[in-house]
Amino acid sequence: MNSIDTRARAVVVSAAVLHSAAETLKEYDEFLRAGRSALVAGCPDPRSAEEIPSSNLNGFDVRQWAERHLADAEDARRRLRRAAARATLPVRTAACVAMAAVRAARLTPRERANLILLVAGNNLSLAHHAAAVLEYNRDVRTVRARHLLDCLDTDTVGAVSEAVGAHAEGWTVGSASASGTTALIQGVRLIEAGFTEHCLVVAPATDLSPVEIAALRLSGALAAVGDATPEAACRPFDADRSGFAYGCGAAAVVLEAPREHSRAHAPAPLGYVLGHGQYLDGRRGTAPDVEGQCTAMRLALASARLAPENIDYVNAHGTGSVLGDEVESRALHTVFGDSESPWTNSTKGLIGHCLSAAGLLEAVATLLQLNGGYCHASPWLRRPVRPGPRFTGREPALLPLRTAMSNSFAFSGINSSVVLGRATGKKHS
Amino acid sequence: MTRDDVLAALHRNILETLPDLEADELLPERNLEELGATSLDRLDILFGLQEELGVRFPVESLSPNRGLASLADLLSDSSEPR
Repeated sequence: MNSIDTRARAVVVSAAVLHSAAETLKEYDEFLRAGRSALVAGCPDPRSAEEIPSSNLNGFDVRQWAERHLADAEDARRRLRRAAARATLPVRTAACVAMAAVRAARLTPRERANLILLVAGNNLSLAHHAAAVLEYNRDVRTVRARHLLDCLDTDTVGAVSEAVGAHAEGWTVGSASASGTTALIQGVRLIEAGFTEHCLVVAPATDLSPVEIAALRLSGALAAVGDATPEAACRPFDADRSGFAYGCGAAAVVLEAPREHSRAHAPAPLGYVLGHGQYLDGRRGTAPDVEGQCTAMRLALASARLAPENIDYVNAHGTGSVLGDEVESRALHTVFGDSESPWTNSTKGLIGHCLSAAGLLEAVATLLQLNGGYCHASPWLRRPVRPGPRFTGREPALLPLRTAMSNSFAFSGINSSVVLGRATGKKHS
Repeated sequence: MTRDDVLAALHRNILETLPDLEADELLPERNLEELGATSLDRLDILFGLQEELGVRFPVESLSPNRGLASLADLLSDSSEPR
């Protein structure tokens, strides 16, 4: 495994996250190590009295974030505020994490300008759409010209590029709950193909409207608080799970082409993307498929030139949904077998399902765990859905880790997996 | 509605629409173009003013290159009740 960094398809130079649980990588690392759920009881569907476990960024304010994180950077504060302070929640969150990740990457102005920008997710600001339509119905004069921008997912491309000064190219990568992972994969591919030296992948917070919440509730996908406390209501891979918790969070990473000699001022890398796999079930709908999930994981392993036994840790998709967890645990068992199977957990049990940002928030969580030598706890996992995968329990697993897989399996049969490698402690060579 | 009411409302709507600005940057002679307002921003400032003041302004009244003091003069002359 010593040659692992020479196999890197891309270097993860820097990352940033935004969630009610953590605003910096250090806070995210501490939160994951503690292994406690950040979910609270919320009511995102105002017509329903029933509370659901969730995390939210209600009232997130760019100005205040900038004061906390850009105290010494007047110019960056101003650019961020100009670009995003008045935008929709997805755009506001995206601009902040993008700014933090790009600053941490210590790029030159020229490297910044040459960044390719990929925004993960589609239908990002459904809450804004719904509110605008309701207001319009009430009074047509409530329409604002800026709705032209607010209604488009690509407003994130504009705001982020303005905030960080990226000019090379920019677009959205939409694949529902797999968006964070597929956008990461597209960024890696652009680097592998030699189109760019640096790629900024940003996953904005998804803002669902009450209508989507109501539909998810009707479909039985959402965990109910019921008699449990909100933090105990979402239980990925537990026999008593009842659904997923709606999470709200954003993440960004800067990817760099692996090279012989690191550039001047480069920070120590966070880790490496070693391989990636994608597979479509080839059918419409919400049902997960063992075969499709196995294929995505095996393609990712093949692309990393690693065998299942070379994977030390799996960050599962693991939403806590009744059928989804059953199917994924079977797929994990099929790919990794019984003996020596990798430690497995689901970060969604701690932060909720952050939908199109989930894959990127979890890739960052995976890198932090690889570097820290721990697999975070699964605090509410008492009776695993099936024997086979080696799930963490109430305590974290502490052990040296080298490699990990992170899974994202979305509606519409979209399966994607990435294989990540630990930072080697030295500058990548 | 006095000219000062119009100027105060203009300031409030500019600050809400252009969140990178601070109140002390809204000097009387500065114009909306210098302050960084796009055409969409100018429309939103205008609609915000109309809503706040309960009057209608001709859509071309927020000229990008007229100073704020002069805009307030113009607006307080050109308003029509709606």
